[in-house]
Formats: sequence, C-alpha cells, structure tokens
Amino acid sequence: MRKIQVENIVRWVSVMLIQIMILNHIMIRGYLNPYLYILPIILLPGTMKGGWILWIGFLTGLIMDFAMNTYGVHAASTTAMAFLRIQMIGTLSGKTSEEMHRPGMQSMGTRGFLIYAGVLTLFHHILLNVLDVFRVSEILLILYRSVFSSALTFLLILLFQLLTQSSKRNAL
Amino acid sequence: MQNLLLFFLRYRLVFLFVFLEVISIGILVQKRSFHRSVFVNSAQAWVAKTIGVFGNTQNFFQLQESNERLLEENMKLRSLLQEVRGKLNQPLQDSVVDTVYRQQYQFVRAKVVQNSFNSRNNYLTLSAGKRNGIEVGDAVIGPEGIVGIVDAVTDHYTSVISLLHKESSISGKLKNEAYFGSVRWDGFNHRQAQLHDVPRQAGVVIGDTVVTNAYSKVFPEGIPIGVIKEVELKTNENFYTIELDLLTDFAALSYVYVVNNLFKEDLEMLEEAREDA
Repeated sequence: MRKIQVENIVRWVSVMLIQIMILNHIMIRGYLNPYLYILPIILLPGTMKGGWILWIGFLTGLIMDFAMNTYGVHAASTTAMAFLRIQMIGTLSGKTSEEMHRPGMQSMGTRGFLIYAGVLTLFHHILLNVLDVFRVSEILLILYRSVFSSALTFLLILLFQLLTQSSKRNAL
Repeated sequence: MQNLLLFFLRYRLVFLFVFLEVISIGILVQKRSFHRSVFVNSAQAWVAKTIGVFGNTQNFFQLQESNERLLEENMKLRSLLQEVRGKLNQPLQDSVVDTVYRQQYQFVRAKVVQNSFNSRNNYLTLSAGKRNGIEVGDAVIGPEGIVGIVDAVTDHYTSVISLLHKESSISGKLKNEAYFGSVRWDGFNHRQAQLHDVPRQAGVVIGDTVVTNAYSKVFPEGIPIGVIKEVELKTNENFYTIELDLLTDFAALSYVYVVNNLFKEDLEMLEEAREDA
C-alpha cells in the first residue's frame, strides 16, 4: 500500500515539473500545447475515495492556473475530469474499483486503457478550451486546439506509460 | 431531517464537485477583482518566485540570445540618435525651453518572471511594480516591438495583458501610409496577428511594417508591431484582411520596458472638458 502512495506522489511531482519546466514552453505550430499534467489524476488508484480525487484534481488545476496565469480555467476542467474519472473507473474493464490499484494497460487491457485515457483527455481539453476561448464565433479555434492538443497529450501519456511499465518490468 | 441528512451523505461527492466547480468558475469570472485581492497577489508572487528559480536557469541558457537582442536594439537606438542630432543640427547641451522637447514618456525596465503564450488569453507577470512607478494602463514594449498593457500592479509585481489576449485590440498604422486599423490576435499562431479595418483605398504592401499610431493614449508613436505577411481583399468588402508576422517573440521574452505616459492626465483632462462642453 505504502509503495503505491510513494509511486503516485513521485509521479505527480515529476509530471508537474515536466509540465511547468518543459511542456509549457513547447508550442507546436505556434499554438498547440500538450497538457501531460492530467496523467497523475488519470492514474490515481481506483481504491482512493472520490472526495480525495476531486480535491487532488482541483488543486492540480489550480497550481497550473497560477503557473500559467489562466485564472481557474485549468482548475475547473481538471475537477470535471476527476469527476468523470470517478464515474468511469472500473466500468471499462468490468473489474470493481477495488481491483484497480493501478489503472493502466495491465489492469484494464490495452483497449480499455486507450478508451479510458482517451475519453478523459479529450473531455478535459475540450472543456479547457471552451472555458478559455468562450466565444461562439471562435468555435473553429476551440475544435482545432482541443483535437490537436488532445492528440499530443495522448501520445505523451502513452509514451510515459510505456516507459514506466518497461522499467518496472526490468526492475522485476 | 434524517432523510435530508441521508440525501446529503449520498450525494456528497456531487456536492463537493459542484462546490469546487463554483470556486473555479468564480475565479475565472472574477479575475479582475481577484487581481486586487491580497491572497491571489501573494500566491501569484510566491509561484512567480518559485518559477523564478527555474526561470533563472532558463535565463542563463538564453543569455547569449538576450545579449544579441540588446546589442541590436542599442544599434538601432544609436543610429536613431545620430539621425535626431542631425535633424536638430545643434549641440544637444543647448537648452531650449519648449514643451515639444519635454519628456513625454518614462521607461521602466522590468524582468519577465512569468509568461504564458499557449492559452487564448495570455498574461505576463513582471518583477517590478508600484515602487518602480508602474501604473495600471501603462504600455509594455519589448526590444523588438509591443508586448501588451498593464492591467494590475502590486508593490513589487505587475500583471500585463499580452497582445495575445481575446480582449487585446491595439491601434496600428501602416508605416508608409496614413491608414490605420486595429491589431488583434485570432488565437492560433503566437507569432502572428491580424490587422483589421484598413480601408480598401490604402496601398497595402507585403513586407511593410505596422507600427503604433499617434492616436494611442497608451503607446508612444512608431513602436513596431509586425510585418505584413499576407493581404486579402474580397471583392465585395471595404476592408482588408491582413496577416502580420509579429516582431515580438513572446516565447523568448526576458526583459521588457514599461512605458508611462507622463501627459496621460493632461489628455484625460482635455477629454473630460470636451465631454462636459
């Protein structure tokens, strides 16, 4: 149990540092930016109480807001994503949340995890851009930013998963 | 009573969710008044300081580039100085009391401690504030061109609305023509902005520079904004659609100047008088 806690804390800290120090400075085509910081929330243990997940999501988003001067946009969308995550966990793989200590490709199956992470990423990014742009006349911009940023984030999530899983296997 | 309690217990997760969302959306809606609140200012200053530590290492790697930019700017200013000296055609130490020569703009140097450019609405945080003479509404320019307008100041920090913001609209004119329009950002590429409302009779040439115009109360005249990249004129429209390459690279800003218009009060008094009349 202790091991899972340490693992989650280490993951949260390292992903936040990667996001703030590296990813926030990456601009693909001048406006596309990956938001890997949602990964630690996606991967929180399924046994965790819903209230905790919501608070962690909210605070993670709030820190991003302060780091990026965005005033509540990240907090709102990350909280909503955390709420959706609570509803989704376990339903995809058919397992109860008790079995989901580590949501991931191994516990959910590759397909299950792809859908789980994909839906959460897309949901988060769409909400983020809707709140940020908040103008009907710029709906095209919202779509562009959401879809392409989601694809970038999703690729990074897969990469992160593959790297950490293979290192775990090597350690065993 | 018991039922009510049970109801709350059962849906406590939903209530917590709604509560957190209300806080987040509240911050978003109230961002203007949040600037003034002590909590947010100190929290932002704290984050700015923490990021400042990382920023310092980043600054270190950008030193050479920053240096080159400054040298380039120096060179431009020096050649401008020569030009002005030539025009005056008299030694500068000669003192002539004339309001034309009175200093209109005061420049304050500030370091960028926090800078976003990947949102639709971007802000910068500068590590200089009221104590350095910065006021709300001051212009902010970089070595290459305009950056934005000050929207909140604390004693030591300044928040700037970047040109890369939904509500930014800055008056710009063609350098070689009298026509002007407003520069806005469409939210796509952070190196490009659009110039709107330039009438079709203007001779718009690709490669021309767009600068701030004299009608602005905020910006000094002639600060570069961007270079015209694409021009489009639809047959049934009276205004051009102009795509600009911005001269300021928002992703590489490390130092900026805050420009305080010393005549602003005069101008405002004049406008009030005109409204009263």
